Amino acid sequence: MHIPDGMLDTKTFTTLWAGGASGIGYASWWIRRHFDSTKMVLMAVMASLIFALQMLNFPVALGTSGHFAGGAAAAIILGFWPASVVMTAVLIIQALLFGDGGITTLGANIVNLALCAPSVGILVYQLGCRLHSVPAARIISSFLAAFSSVVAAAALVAIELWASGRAPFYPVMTAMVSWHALIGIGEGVITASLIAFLLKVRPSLLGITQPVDKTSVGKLEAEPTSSPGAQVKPTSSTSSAQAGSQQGVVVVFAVIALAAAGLSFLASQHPDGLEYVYFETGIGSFFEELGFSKLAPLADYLIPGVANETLSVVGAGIIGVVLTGSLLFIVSTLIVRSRVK
Amino acid sequence: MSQPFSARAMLLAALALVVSIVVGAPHSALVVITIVTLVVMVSLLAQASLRKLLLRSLVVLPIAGGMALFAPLRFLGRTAEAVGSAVAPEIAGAAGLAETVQSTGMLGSLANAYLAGAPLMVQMILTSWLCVLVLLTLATVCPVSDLLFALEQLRLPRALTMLLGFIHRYVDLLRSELSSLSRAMVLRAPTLSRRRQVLLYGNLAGSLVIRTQDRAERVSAAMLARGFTGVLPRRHQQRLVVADITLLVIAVVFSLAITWV
Repeated sequence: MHIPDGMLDTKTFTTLWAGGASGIGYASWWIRRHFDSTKMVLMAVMASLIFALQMLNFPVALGTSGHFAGGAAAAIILGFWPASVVMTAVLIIQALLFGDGGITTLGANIVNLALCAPSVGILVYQLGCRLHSVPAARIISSFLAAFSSVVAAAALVAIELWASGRAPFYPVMTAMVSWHALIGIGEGVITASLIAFLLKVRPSLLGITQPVDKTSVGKLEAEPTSSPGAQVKPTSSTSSAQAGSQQGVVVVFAVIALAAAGLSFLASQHPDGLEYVYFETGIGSFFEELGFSKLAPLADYLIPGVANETLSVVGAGIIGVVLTGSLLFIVSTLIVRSRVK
Repeated sequence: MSQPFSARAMLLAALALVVSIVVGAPHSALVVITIVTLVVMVSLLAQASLRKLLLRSLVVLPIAGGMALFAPLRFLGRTAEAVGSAVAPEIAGAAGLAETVQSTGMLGSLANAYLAGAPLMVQMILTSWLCVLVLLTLATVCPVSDLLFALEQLRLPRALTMLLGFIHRYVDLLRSELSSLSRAMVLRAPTLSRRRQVLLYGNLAGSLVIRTQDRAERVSAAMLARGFTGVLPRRHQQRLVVADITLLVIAVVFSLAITWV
């Protein structure tokens, strides 16, 4: 499912680079903040394992085979943010050393395989575990998590190819989703038996402190352990709330920046209602002659001096979001400080 | 195998080249020949096996080919004029196939769409192959440790470079362990069907997870004993020498030429 170079156009790959880089930047910051050196080493060695496990090939159909991707399994064992960084490291190694996946498409591959697949996987798994915490429910949830993570990532690849103008929407979506649904079954079976094995042999790796007893329905409790996936809980409710709000702000900004960069291409080339009226009545031409529009640093949402229009529009979108966000941050900080005084 | 330039210069040159190959597509035959010549020259300078490099680069063909197969479907049911305006003029002109797109039934329309889209498909595959060729040349010529150090110099997050270093250190070990486990599984149960084997893969992966966890704890303890504080020791900054700067200038000029000329 790794998209090679040349499959995505400039606007799509730059947008996805922005999204992937901001997501992984935040994930790296999260790891430095929450993991001590011991946990870093544990996670790093587990990263090598995810890479090695991708050797597992299984038959799909028509004499072809698929390989274990491990996005959902990594998220279940390590937690979402560590899994994202692990998968990104694996993708960088594959792109740089093995020619598997491209450099311009690395952002897309990060979004698909390091952010989307683990997030869908962990969401489905946690939802399943919340409904029933018996081992069977965990195993079924892990199957569904792995299956849905593969299908979701494949659907995202199809959308990216369509957005790049490389393929029509319905054929590529149908082909990608149906083919990867088959691969998803294999991925689901391996992930489910992996989780079943760990539940039996070492449940602490899944954040479960007590040995699993199939008769103890509803007694399993997830607690922080020394496993790499176990997240360190903040000591007080205040710090927890602060960490939560900071995470929220970063995620919201990343999503807005991504949307701004991507949606800028969907903007109409025609003037808006007010501009139309201005030019119809002649006011627009009067102001244009005065040269006011040239005074704007990012006139027409383009960065001056950048010849490539695509890069210029994306850059202007991101600069706009960053400036607006910074202004909002400064104003809100000043308001909060004045209230405290 | 010798290394003619520093890893940082080669990484930057390769990245510039890859971006320009993608942004500047479709390429003329002259550009393709020039890129291949450049790759050949660098690998000859580094005394790398060219045959091995070319064979390894073919790994991208099935994946890129599979994705590029969808591209001609854009022309399904379009008129000749629409096809002509949808594709780059040099592709449509060189192929001269745009006028063949006419509605001649479902199969005929599909065949015509593939005829009209074939040049675009070839361009997509060619772009992918050229990029992989450039990246594999980089991977062949530069030692991995130097490449990781170059990535760190380019301000890749520390957590990520540390993970990359560990993957490089342990992946072969874990791969060989996985191979020996799978071999043992096949030898102990030779009559198992492939489907049954897939079910057993989970157990195999699980036991490897536990072994890795134990190994990781030992590695962690050993590293802490040696004074590890969560940051891998860094080498001294390497300055770019004249050869590196020359390479970078050539790469940038060449990339700009590919993109805009």
